[in-house]
Amino acid sequence: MMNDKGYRAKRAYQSPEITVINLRPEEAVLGNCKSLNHGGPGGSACCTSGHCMCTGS
Amino acid sequence: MPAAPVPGIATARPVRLHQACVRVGGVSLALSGPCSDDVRLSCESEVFQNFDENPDIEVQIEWVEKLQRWRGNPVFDSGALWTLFRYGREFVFDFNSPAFGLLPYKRLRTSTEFRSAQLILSREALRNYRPIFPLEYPADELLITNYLASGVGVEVHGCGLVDPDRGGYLFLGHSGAGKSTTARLWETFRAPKILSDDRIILRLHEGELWMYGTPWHGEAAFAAAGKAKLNRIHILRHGTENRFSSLPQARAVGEVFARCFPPFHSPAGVERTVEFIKRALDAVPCYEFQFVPDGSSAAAVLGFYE
Repeated sequence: MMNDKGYRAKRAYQSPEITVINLRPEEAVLGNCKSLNHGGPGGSACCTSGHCMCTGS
Repeated sequence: MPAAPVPGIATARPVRLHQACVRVGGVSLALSGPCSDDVRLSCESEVFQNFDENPDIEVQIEWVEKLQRWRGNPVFDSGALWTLFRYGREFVFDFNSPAFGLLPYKRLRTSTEFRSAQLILSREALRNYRPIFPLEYPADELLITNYLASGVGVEVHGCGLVDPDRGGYLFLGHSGAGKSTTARLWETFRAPKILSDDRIILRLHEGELWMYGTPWHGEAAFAAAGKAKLNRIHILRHGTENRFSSLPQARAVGEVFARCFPPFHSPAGVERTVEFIKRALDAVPCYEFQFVPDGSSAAAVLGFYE
């Protein structure tokens, strides 16, 4: 944006901020239990029945 | 362009009697093996069947009597089903499960670019497990997410739906953030097409951000083949009211990255993933969406304009 003297208006200074973002590596790695309703080794090895709340589900 | 063979491991190609092909996130993956049982797809993946003469990723199925443990130091241990090794320029994923003892039940050897692979199954380990789905989770997802990590896309932890009147909406969130709840709420109030309640693939096409459904669903079990253009991204948080907060781009890149599936074994792949997210957020804005879990949240999203 230009000011009335034709110069580009300066933006107000904003001091740098550190923002902590919560990474969850246990969820970001494929392969945690993902209960799919089919046979096969992964599914058959699962001992959970009913509602699964495992990480990655 | 057809997938290149894995150097050194694909010299004796099996006769291709049977083939299955899926397309997930715009990436076609062909599975070929000597008999029909070898290319069986799970019911979730069958929805994504789509023949492609020149697949992006080609996987050959082979059987051996027994797989021995891979010798060498792993470059990445998932802490779950798979461990990754390098062998020259190849990647070698060994799949283990307590159900089979110490030896791998499956081994996936891929080219560096994840364009061709060999999936080796252990007869001994899998003898009592029928039917076999060779690409079962997480093998299929590993192939596709690593292929995308060349900089052409990213898989995110999110619920994606297509409203019949207003088009695509994406809600990202960690486990417990409300993805499946959001899917159920929208299903009740808007009858959208729900592409997934857990995992969505993002791609850019001519400067536009598109989302794709995947077979890898969440608690609510929504998974559909389809895609939709996005106009913004929402980061889900539980709240006491429905409220949108615009996120500065640097923060948004971090928040989206925290909800994606990067190839942690590859610094270059992680860097390309971050770059892709940056380009995606050049295309659309990102908002934190604090929501209350009732029909008012869907109405708030539909009524929100930047």
